[in-house]
Amino acid sequence: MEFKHLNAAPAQTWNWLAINDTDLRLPDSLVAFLPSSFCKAIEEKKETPRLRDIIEALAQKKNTFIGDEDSQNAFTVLLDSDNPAQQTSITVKKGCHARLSIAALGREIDTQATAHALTILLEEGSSLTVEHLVAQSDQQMHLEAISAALSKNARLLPVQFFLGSGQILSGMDVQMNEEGAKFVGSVQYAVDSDQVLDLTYTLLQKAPRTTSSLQVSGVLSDNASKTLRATIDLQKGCKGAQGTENETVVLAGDSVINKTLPTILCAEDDVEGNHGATIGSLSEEMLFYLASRGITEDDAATLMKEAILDNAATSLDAPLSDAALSWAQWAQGPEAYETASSARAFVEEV
Amino acid sequence: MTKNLLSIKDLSASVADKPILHNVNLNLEENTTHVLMGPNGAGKSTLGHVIMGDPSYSVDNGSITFNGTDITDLTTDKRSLSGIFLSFQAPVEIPGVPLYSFLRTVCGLRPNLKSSAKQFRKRVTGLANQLDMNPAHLTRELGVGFSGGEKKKVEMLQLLLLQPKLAILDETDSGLDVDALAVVSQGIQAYRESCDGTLLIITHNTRILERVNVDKTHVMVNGSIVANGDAKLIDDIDANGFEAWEKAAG
Repeated sequence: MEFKHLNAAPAQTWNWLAINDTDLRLPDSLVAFLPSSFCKAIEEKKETPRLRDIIEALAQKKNTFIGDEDSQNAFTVLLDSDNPAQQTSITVKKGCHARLSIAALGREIDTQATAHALTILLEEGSSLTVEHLVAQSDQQMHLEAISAALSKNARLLPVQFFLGSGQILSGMDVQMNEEGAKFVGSVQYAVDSDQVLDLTYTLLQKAPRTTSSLQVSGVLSDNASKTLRATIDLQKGCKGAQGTENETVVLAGDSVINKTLPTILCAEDDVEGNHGATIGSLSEEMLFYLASRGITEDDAATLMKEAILDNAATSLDAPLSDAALSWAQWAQGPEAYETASSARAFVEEV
Repeated sequence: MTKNLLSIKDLSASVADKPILHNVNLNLEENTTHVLMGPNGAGKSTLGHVIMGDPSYSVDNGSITFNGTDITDLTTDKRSLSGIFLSFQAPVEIPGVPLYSFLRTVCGLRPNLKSSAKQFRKRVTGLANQLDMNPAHLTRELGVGFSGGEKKKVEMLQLLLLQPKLAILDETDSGLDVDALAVVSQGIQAYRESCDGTLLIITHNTRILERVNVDKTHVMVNGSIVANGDAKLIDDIDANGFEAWEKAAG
């Protein structure tokens, strides 16, 4: 089953750039979960569903979490062959803090695609850290749709690591509805072989003094393909708002495809929107420095990829960093596992 | 008789067809400390980079022999693995790569420095402490957000970790305050004490040399070595500068 125009950027550009949105051929391992009523509705309405609509239709398991003063406020969603399609809703109550870990995992022989739709509601003064890890085989696919609504002075802090999967489609819509709401997102990826990574972030700043910061960095090698659509929408009424998006991409190979559509929309004065990007091969200066330490250009790409794995092992909390290490063991080999474990042990020591 | 570790013969080099080095001859013996001095723009850093094999420069004539092997055409990474180290005047920043991961990779490429993860952690932590460097800084991205002094400390840390046969310190003292300078001097001494390596210190400032036992001093002006001597030559330079050599060189 095929779907068109998913993960669309809110402000479109030339079609011939082939970056406005993406098409999806849903694998049979997920098609089986689609209710016939959903398929019929699509046929009858002739409408294109959003990525979120598809995932919600697929979801076999529904999780509801509440972060409040009475609970430990640490929640985990595990997407694997047993529970591949899930829908999660989390509300963090006024002034409370919570942590949500999402892991889409697989093993070398796995082919089961996974899908997750997440809805976040952050009440006044609350905060939520979302740790998100995708560590699957090349035969798998992961779909993710995240929507968040932030109240006054609420903070959303997503940390995403995309270490491996045949294809990843991930969309995140964040609405900073009230004054002082803040989004700080960090995304790291290492994409190789024929893997495809398609990311869309839409950050709507609707209220005064809201802040958004999105940092995306990664390495592309072999025939890998990555598309990033990152939009900061500074809407009318958001005086004093600040929005920043930064991207660093290392292109380690002549056959990689890298597409980026950074957009800053502005309908208000007295706001600040920033965009920065470093995209390309490592500079000659960097390569000489690395070579002066014995690291060839090929070694440099490996170093960059290993560094992302190290970062996942050291910055994610235990269940997810364990999963990252486990993935390193079977996907990258014992040496990668050893080095990432060593990095984690070092960080714990210091 | 002391054996030459590095032997440079009639070396001329250029960048973008602009000649920089002219018939340079220089011998660095094993287990010795040499200082290369000269005014700004004399070609001192170029010589350091050419020894390291920087592809930005073309060797137009002459040869470089290291440890008995002609390395004139050897790539930089192979020169590094054979035991040559260049401490950079302005070390680069490599976003996304934690310093710890970088150091581990660099050691992993050298069979004599491979060790268990635990031994490696102990070693780098010990060296960081020795250089008065917070070990937590090793978890930061390579060079990113480091001050000038911290960057030089990282270069010293690599020097002590790798224990190369030949270490070229390219203006390691530039831009450092007194405290950072002391740490660098301490790193140089620790290197000399911990292995039988040879040092080539490139500088135009004699302050860093106050705590270093210098065996030989060389003066470069306009891309040529114009004087060779022992440590006393440094005092002469301190008193009179490079003016006489610059005038003689036209």
